[in-house]
Amino acid sequence: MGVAVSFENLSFTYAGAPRPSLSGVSGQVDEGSFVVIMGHEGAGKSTLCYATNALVPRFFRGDYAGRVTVLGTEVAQSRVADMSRQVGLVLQDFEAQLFSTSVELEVAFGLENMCLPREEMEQRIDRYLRFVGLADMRRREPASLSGGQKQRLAIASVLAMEPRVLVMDEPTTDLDPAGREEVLSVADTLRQERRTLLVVDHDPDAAIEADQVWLMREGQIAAQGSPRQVLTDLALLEACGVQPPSTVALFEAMGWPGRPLTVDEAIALIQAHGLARPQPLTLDAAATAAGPAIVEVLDVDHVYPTRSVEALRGVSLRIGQGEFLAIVGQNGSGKTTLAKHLNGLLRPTRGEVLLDGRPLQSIRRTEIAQHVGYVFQNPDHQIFANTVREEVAFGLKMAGLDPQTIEERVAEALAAVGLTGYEEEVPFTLTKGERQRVAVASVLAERPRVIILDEPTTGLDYRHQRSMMEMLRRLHRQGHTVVIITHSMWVAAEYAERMVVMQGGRVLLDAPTRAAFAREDVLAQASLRAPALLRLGNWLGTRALTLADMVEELKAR
Amino acid sequence: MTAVLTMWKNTRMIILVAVCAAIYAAALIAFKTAIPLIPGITEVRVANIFPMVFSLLFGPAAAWGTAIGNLIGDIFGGTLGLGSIFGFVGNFLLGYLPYAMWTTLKPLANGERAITFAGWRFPVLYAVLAFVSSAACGVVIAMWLQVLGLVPYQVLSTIITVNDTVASLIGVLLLLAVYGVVQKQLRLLWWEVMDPADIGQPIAGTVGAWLVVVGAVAGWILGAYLFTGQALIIGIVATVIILVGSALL
Amino acid sequence: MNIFLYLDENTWFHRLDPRTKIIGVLLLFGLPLAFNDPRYVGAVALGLVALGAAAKALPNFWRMRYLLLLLVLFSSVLWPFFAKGPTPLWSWGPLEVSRESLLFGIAMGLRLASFVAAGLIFLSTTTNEEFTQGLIRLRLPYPVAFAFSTALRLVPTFAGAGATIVQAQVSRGLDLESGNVFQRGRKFIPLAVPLFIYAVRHTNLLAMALESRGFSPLAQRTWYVQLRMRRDDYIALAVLATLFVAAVALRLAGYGAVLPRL
Repeated sequence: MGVAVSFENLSFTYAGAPRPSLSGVSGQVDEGSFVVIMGHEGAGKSTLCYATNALVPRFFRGDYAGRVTVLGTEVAQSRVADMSRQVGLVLQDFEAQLFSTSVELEVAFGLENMCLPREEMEQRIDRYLRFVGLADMRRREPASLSGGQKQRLAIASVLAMEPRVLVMDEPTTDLDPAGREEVLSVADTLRQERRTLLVVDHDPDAAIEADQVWLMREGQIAAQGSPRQVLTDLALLEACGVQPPSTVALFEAMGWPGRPLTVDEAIALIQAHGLARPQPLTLDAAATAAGPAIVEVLDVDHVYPTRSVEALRGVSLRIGQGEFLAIVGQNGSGKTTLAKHLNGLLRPTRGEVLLDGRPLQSIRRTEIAQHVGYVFQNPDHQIFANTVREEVAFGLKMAGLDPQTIEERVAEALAAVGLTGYEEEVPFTLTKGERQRVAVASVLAERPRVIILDEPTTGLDYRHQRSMMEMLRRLHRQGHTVVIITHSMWVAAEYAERMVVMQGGRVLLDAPTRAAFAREDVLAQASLRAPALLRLGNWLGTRALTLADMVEELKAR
Repeated sequence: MTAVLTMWKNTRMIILVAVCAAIYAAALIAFKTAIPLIPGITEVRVANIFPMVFSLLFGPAAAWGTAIGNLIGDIFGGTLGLGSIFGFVGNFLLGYLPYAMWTTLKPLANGERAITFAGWRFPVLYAVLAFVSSAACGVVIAMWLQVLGLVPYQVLSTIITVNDTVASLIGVLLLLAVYGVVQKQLRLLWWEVMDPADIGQPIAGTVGAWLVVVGAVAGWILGAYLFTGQALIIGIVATVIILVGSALL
Repeated sequence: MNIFLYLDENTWFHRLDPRTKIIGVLLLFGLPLAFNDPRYVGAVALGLVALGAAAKALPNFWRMRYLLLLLVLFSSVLWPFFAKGPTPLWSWGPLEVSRESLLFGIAMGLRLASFVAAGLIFLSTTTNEEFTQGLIRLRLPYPVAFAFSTALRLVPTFAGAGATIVQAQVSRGLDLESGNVFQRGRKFIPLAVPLFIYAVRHTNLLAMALESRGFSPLAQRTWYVQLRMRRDDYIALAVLATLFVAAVALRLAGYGAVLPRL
């Protein structure tokens, strides 16, 4: 088997950047093999992807040293347009890589650039749209597709050029669980066809089937090896900011033999060695009584004026003082629509929302903001000011508070999110995780009792996800009521006390977190799946939600 | 002038055209029906805070982007017509003149493309160019719509000039907020995106810039207030002066 | 909301080659332009309504009904003060309204409405791809056509982002409904800045994605959408050209104008 991609001592520093993004990276991807690259944000994963098709150094300029060859061609000597025949690149942002007005034209674009005749284009469009399961959407506008469909379209339009190597840079990061499954199953078919695949992913699950896993850290390769070698080295994974497989972590903490990468493997090992005995799961029946209700949603329907589909159907929800609530469900299940009713951004078509027993409609906007704060998914949708201080103070200024109070509140909010000392920084220059915190601080500054966050961890790497959630936990302990909307099952499991599962505009399940995750059948109905640790916990009959608690519980048995 | 044509060789500049056009069009459509001044012709154009900012950042991409964005605004607004032809030209000038005159309107200009916000030069030059580019846009569009017999020159030239000047002046806040990000994070200032060899030199920059000033200011004041009877002739002559001046930049 | 005006029908108009439609709509623009007598322009306008019905574009006419109505009313009120005619009807100080100028105003309103109507028929029957492809075949350079169609594709994306941004800022207490023009203008900054940054961040990503798919601005390429002029296309163009010539001839012969010099 030949070598498809070879990196030889590659270093690269973006023009104007203070530090190199890659320093001395070497590695080989064999033809027909599947390599997964993992690492923290800023580890150089994307830069490595760009180096395979000449975007680095032709599109992004900077200091380039070393050599990259693809099927014998030296990349740095070639134009991006020429490399595109050899290397197909799929990007994380499914929004920004589609630019045509219909699905079939999107696929045709690359083929037109290759000067293929029309008949050939038609065959390829047919073949590859069928391959990714979009054959019946040829005339649709890409903008009208779901996230998973958009990403599959991006893959099809790259595949149609029939490159020898396919590189995907975090293709599933921005997707909901269903979209993620769709894309992973396409990737799996490609793997089985023995295509050369280089995929950046943050989830160890995606790496289990790989031929090789490369761990990156600070622009260097920290480890290269089989999934079993790399994914079982917990200390190394931690150091590279990658979430370790929880089954491996559990076995290590329990001192059990073997390092299983999947739940099935773990169960087999436990049975083979008689490590623990499954018990029926017993949970306290009654939901822990929360404090007095702050927000109550009473039998609400919502219909968007421009779409005839009901986004919410007969939804009731009570949010008590001091709760930590997670709302989960697929995109389009109505979770964001529901959340926007909690602070009056949307009004119910039917039914009522109460704040402290008063109808929300009768309360002024500025007053609602002091009770219920809402942090939007993308911090960039709200950041506009030139300093962090000004950004956080915005709502307070709008409310007409005096400068002294504003100053105090800003300091307090920044302290709460761990950004003290960032007052004079330019928000746009901060990392995504920090910008997310600025957005949270600007809502916290109004001292709301309830704080709602839409996808607070999406787009952050594991470390930043952790620190964001730890910060929310601190706020919760200080007495804030926290509501998060999330796709991330482990986030819900480790941090939320109660979980609301939405599907098709209805509340499918509303239960304490552990009880909710015990209902694997109901979750499956909403196309969700409990995190690996809890699936194992369901089998073992443990009540714990976190690794530490599970270890303690199992040891106490 | 050269850069306006050579920019089509550069992928980033082409995308910037599309992005500028889409922002401008989205904003135009969002506020299209809000406060119509002359139905089907013009409205209070909140969107006009963008063109001058685009221009100083993205140069030639802003000229094409503003022109195409206005056309798309007409398409989505349902007001695509013969008027759209000079709507294209006028809006092109709105995106073209600020950056092209920024370096050439001497002695107000000092020839530097990069903006220094401190000192007297920035506010003065910005205000002058906000007014001149708006008036140039107003004269060109009003002349054409009078030729088509759609709207009297006097009315439209004044509306466009005043409206766009005010909007461009408000736009300075946007420029202050985004200049640093575009320069340092996004690295998309036009003279850094384009190959220096493609940018070229003005044919007669300072002469062109002052021709545009004279054509725009005189065309508006004389045609709309002093010699209203000869508005059409004045509009045509002023348009020719503005276009010749622009070509020299 | 669907901001595109295209109506997915299969009429004779929909099937025409986009080049025919582009040239055709330009010829149609010429008809109301030839006259300034409301009876003649009115006839053109009625003809366009009939054409609209045949192209099944009337839903869009209905969607634009207020605009169309306003055009006629506004123009009828505005023009009489600027166009001078020989038969005075009413005067007040320097302001004077004549019979001819009033008729002229009505004609101008109808002319504007006719433009809008012709444009609507075109947009109702032409997809974005066809429009772009038509422009390319009419010798518009590819990079320009590409920028145009990409912009068309991005408008809904940015409009959606804009709507989210408004919600995000309103939920932080931004009040868009008070203040004078300048104060209100300033309030657009918290909306304009995030929209701008969001959109411009797209630029580098899009440019990367483009080049990664083999795009190179001046290179040769082939086309997926194929256009072919059929017999119907030539018939349509011939009919429209004849109408256009006839209209110009009528006007030159002295018909169809209340104010012959305008």
